[in-house]
Amino acid sequence: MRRRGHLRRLLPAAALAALAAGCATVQPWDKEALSRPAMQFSGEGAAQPFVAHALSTNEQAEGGEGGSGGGCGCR
Amino acid sequence: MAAADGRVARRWALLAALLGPGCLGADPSLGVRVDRYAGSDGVTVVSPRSDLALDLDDRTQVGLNYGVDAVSAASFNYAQSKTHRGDPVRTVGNCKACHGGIDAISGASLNYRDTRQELGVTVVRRLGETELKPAYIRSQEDDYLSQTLSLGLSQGLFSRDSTLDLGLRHSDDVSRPVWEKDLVRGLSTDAATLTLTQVLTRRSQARLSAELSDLRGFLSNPYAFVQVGGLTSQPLPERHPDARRQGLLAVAYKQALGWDSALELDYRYYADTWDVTAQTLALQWGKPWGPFTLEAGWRHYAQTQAWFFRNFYAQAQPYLSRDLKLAAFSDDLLNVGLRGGLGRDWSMDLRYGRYLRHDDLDYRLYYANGPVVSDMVSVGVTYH
Repeated sequence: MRRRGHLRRLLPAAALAALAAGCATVQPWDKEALSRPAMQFSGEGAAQPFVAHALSTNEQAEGGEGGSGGGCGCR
Repeated sequence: MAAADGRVARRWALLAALLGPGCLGADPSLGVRVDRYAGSDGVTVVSPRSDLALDLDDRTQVGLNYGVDAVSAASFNYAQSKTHRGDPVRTVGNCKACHGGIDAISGASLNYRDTRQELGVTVVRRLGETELKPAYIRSQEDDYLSQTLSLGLSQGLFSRDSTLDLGLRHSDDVSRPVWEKDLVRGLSTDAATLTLTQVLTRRSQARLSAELSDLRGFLSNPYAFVQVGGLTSQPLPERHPDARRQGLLAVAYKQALGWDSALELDYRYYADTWDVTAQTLALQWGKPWGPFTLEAGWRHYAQTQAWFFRNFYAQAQPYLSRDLKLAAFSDDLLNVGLRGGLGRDWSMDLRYGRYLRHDDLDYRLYYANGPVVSDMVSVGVTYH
């Protein structure tokens, strides 16, 4: 139980550290791997509107799947 | 019901007639999909949906979508249901006043159905590295109308390695119980979302989101009743507080792996002023397979209960709720999907999800025999 509490604190901290490390520019010609369909964020597997709607009828927490950008940056 | 079906068909035809000519010269993308939900509690939802996107010029895109949720509950039994026992509606009319096809002998609602229609209009306007996205969504049922206005602002930064999204949303909902259409209750919702998407390396990226919502108005279910004291006592209407604030933080990390595959890790923390806290952890894996992308994922969700929720009430309280959504529980969602191109102009999307809820509630007071297990299937094709 105590280990689970540590894990809950560590996950956001690790994510913030990862974001902070992201200041180095990645050139457009280096973004081939990022542009693959599998690299699109899927938002907990709930990005599909119907799945999100079905989950919202069962769960209190909803949202947090939004956002754009990332990938090849070639919108 | 036949009349409702006719209205739905006419609206589809009208939408097609209005949009058809516009599609011819505007490089359209048209998607059609059908989703189906089937739960162990007897609830089935079939949702046909269509999405149309038109590029008006190289900077402006208009999106239109229209969908229907056809809800049926074959096992729903109005006369014998515990939450309706002693319901004041009985003094107003009979079961048929609310549910069309009632079997007079068994009391079973043979054709308990409900239909929700949703129409959405979105405009995307690009101005350099900035994108503006105003949208309007209208969702309507016989006894419910919800209208949402939203504005999204997206800004690309640092050669598009970073993208900042700001979203503002306002909804107005109005409900009118079927037995008393003059009893109008409103709900107003304001929400703001801030999201940062950051490319980290050539093979990884992350996303950080924060969202705040403020809800004011009628937050109860007008059809839900709570038995207080015992199964033979007179049920009282469900009563929730009329204000609620919600907040969430979410972080996602995506890493490219070998064989062109990718792994996503998601975590979300949610809290509100009804003392509900929830955590979500998800893993999603994807890999190219010919012209398609194969995906599989697992998602785990756990929440605490609202401060006024009780499985059973010994005596009346200022707020009453046996809403399963406000109980302490956890659930799992397992999903697989296949999406990708079908030739040059077509793409498809197939998905299956299995949802399993876990709790230790006493289900003798509910319609269901135990925590719900449901299956979700989606089939979609898009013409580009």
